[in-house]
Amino acid sequence: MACGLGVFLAGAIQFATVFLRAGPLTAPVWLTELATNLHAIMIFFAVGITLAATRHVRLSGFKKAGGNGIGVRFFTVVLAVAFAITLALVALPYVLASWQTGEGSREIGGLSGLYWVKSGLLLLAFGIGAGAVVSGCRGPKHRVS
Amino acid sequence: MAAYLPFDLILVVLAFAALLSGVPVAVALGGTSVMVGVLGSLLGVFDPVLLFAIPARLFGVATGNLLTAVPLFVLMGLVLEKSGLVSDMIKAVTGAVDAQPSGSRQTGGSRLPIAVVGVGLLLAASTGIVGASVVMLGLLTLKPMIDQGVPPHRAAGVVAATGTMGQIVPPSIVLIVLGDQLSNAYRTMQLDAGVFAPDTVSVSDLFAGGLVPGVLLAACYIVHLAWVGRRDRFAFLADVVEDDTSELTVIKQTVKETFWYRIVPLAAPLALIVSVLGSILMGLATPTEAASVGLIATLVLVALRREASNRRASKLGLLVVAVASAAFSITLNAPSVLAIGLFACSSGALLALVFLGVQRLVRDQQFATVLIEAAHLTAMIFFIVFAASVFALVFRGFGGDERLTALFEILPGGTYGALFFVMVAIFLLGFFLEFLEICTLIVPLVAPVLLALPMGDGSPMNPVWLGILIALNLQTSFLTPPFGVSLFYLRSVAPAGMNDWTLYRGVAPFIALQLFVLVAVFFVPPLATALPNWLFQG
Repeated sequence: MACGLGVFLAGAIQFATVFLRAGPLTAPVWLTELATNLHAIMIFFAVGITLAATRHVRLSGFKKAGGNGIGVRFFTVVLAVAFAITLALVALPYVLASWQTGEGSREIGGLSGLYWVKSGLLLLAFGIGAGAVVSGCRGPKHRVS
Repeated sequence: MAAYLPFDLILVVLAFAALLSGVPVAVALGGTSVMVGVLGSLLGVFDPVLLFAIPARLFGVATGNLLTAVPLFVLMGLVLEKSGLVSDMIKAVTGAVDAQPSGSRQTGGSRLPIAVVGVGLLLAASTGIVGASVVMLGLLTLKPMIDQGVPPHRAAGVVAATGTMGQIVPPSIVLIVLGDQLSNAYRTMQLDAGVFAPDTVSVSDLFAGGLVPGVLLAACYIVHLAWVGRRDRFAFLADVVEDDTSELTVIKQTVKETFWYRIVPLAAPLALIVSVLGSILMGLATPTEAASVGLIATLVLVALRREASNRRASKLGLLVVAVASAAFSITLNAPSVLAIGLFACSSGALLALVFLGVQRLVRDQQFATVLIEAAHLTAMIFFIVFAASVFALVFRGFGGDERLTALFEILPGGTYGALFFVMVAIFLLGFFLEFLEICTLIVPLVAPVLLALPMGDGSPMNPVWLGILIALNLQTSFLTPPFGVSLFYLRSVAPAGMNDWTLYRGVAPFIALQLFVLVAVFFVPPLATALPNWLFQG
């Protein structure tokens, strides 16, 4: 719900920039960046939750073959945890470098504190690992989008 | 010894094995990629530096301007569906056809199926969500069509085929994801060829490219339905239905009722389509900006939606929109203190209407549902794009792209042979893979190689043409039994007596029509490329 609200807010901010630009005012750069950054943070946050809720898409044509078996759950957890650990390991130096330089927007008038947004990659890695474990414990339900 | 192992093929085989075993798509792609990548690094056949490129790639995907449009279009489609605007539109069209004067309704006629195609085109251009379109059309039009004497198989075929038009008619989520992948592939191809100031292909190009084939497809459906309806009418000429209630309905309909229940429900999506597509095609807004305009416009439409309990509010809302639009026009033409004041007033009015729209969704207990669904769908799409991005990185790291190039070079038929091979592969994969997997898994692998192949006249392949061919191909495979996704959706809402064979029989002519349009675009590329060239380069 919070993630959806974030996406909705990002849309509203995006619209505000279009509206301001179309009118007699100009849309500040930081407003555009706010929409993009908000969107990115919501995505990093929502991936894990969606995985935990077993809402990620699986092959629809092989529903019966996919099944809810313990084997599928086991492989899901193994692959997701492998992905999460690798992502965390390679993202850590990337995020630390951003923190060390106090990275901000490259645009004049843009937002500072880009390192906070980049830290979302670690949140993504944690979310994928934790979400897969929670999903594995619950037992997957098929979700065909 | 490890150097001789085809790690790129091992990666593909493992990824497909994981996919087929039922592991979530994103987990299957991402997990196998990093495991094979790390193994390759340990064996010294994969450059581990490439793995450290993953965070920058994922961050680029999450903050890229292009894919930010996806959640906004998803939200827009969900608000349209959950607020009842879509069902209003369908009822308005089917109701208008149903309320024809006595004697005009004929068993097996073509009027209602053709109206359903028209509604499907509007739905495709406003929501772009195939599942929602098929389910809504199935729920609201299958029974009326069958009641009017349309054969059940044809009614099912119309709904399934029309519902999939959201794949090709902009603003389509498929075209946005495809545009992102093709844009990357086109840049990669040019950089590989030593072009360091590469041309780009945008989602706007693909949207413009999809418009003519989409309309052509709808026209083919309509011609087909008119033809078979005419044939049926001759066969059942004696079965003209006398329907006094229809006549009575027409007489009773006042101009006011017609306006609120027939014209407004149809004008609303038309206004939405004009505001979203118009702003993109005229170059006034990027797809992401247009998506945000579409979302806010949808909420305004929800606020203006005619309800028995809220007629006064609807009238007031229409008045506010008219005044705000006039104020906004004055503002644009004469910037002054007064103009800024009017601008502020119109902004306030717009804000009030958006608030009213949200409030109506909250009152109907749909707002939370919309947000949660949108968050889940968006997260799912982005996770697959993340994982596919890692998969493509590792695949290329093992030299998989070179192997593909070598494969295409030995295929008979040159460029067209390679393209035909890829199209057949995508068609077959479409039976059991979702569009997302194909767009994010297959397209990044084959598109850079295909785009580098010369056409008959020596010019490079047009990426818009390739994108539209892939989108049309995907649409066809989603309709093809036994795994067509559209058929799964329709089956979930089909009447009890309608079995699988009825569905298969119904979609067969529409699959033929889709293949006809696909072949037409293949042999006449300007069908896909002329409009974007004219709009954006001419």
